[in-house]
Amino acid sequence: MEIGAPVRTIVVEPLEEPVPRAPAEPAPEPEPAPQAPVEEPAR
Amino acid sequence: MSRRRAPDFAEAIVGLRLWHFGQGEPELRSLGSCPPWPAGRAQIAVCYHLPSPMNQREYREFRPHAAPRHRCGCGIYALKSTEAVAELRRGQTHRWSHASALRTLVSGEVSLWGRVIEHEHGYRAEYAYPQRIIVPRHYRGFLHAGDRRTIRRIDANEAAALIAERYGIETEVG
Repeated sequence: MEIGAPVRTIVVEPLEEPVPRAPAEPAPEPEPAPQAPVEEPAR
Repeated sequence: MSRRRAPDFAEAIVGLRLWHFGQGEPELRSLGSCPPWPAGRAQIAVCYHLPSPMNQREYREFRPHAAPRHRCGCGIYALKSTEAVAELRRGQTHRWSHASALRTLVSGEVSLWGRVIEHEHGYRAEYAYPQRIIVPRHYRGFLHAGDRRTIRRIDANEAAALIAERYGIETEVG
């Protein structure tokens, strides 16, 4: 990307970060629930 | 502890960009080989520049640094004018022999903040987030299906809806 020669350096601190508050980040896939160990019947 | 100077602006700068969307995943990607643009949090600039060991002086003096740095090419890029974006798009046409890669291009506005280096025709920024995306009518993308062995094609309307939902921003087909 050709943007030419640098002109100046500036510091930009928005009062509010320009990122939507309720993003639609895809939910991670749920991990399988741990299964209880199967007890062997007492003999 | 790093010292940062007082801010020059209290509102994000708005630049113009091209992204790819829908090259397998429903995410915006830069034209270079950078990480995909995250949803709901800022893209953060990282310097990937490492001088060639062939240039011994530059290699020896190189130090990892926060991006963007004045004497480096790092940072999140954006342009100032629609003419520059059109020229960049034409450059992609020249660069890519496979026409399908061009069909996933989308354009739009991007908010830039943090440390920003202003150039003649654009910016290099520390933080960025897409603000508004325009999906061209001729857009054709694809998404991997759940099994990742098949793909599903998406058109401009679906891409615009997916971008709006994922990134929480305004989109349009134009």
